[in-house]
Amino acid sequence: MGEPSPVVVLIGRRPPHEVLLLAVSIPLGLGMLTRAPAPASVIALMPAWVVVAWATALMLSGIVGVASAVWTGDILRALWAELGALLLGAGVFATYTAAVFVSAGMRAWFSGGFMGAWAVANLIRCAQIRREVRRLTAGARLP
Amino acid sequence: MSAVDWPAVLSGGLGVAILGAVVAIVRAVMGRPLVQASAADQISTTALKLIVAAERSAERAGQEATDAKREATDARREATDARRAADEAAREVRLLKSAILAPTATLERLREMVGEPGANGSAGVRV
Repeated sequence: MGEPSPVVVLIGRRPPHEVLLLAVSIPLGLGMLTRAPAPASVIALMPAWVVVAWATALMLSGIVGVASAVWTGDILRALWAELGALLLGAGVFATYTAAVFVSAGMRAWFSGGFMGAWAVANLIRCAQIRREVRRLTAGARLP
Repeated sequence: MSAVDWPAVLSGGLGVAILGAVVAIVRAVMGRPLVQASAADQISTTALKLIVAAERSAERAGQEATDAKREATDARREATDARRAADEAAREVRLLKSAILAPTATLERLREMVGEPGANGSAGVRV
């Protein structure tokens, strides 16, 4: 018998902060598409169709992210879906952060800081997922 | 910084993020699943060592059981031999008793039956 493949320990797939923030993205994005206007800084800086794409991306990141968290099937699919959702979210929040700082300068330190940290956290988690996917696919025999 | 075309920059950034996300989601939907058959390969080295040790221990226990069975068979055989010897001795005693109690018993005849005394007085009975 040859040497066994190393055991891949996945970082927890359902961290509460991530799951809840993804979940809240759904009503926020849907609300901006249907009822409430997008943030003023975003509207001021981007064309209307980009604002719609921005709100849609926010909602989709929530839907895909929550789906990946509750997915009990293949772990690889769940990880890729989570990565996609977080990348969408990172783009949305980075766009908002830049827009709010451009519009309001340092007065936007609180909301901009929070959203910026959220975007960075998403990107860090994307890097973690990428590493885990690489290790999983290196250790497994695919059909 | 006022020369920066912020709408273009922000739209471009959002576009890149959307593109990356679409690629990842497509891989999630269309990608091949992780094969479950490699589960045996994922057993840690420690668990494998435990399994090997348990197998060796089971092998030793099996060997000991075989040895114990062989010893039990030998003991049974010795017990059978001892019983046969006891039956033979009982038969000799019965014969001597009959000879002693017979009305035609004589000392010479009894001596002849017992034969030459061996070490410690032991001797076979001649019938």
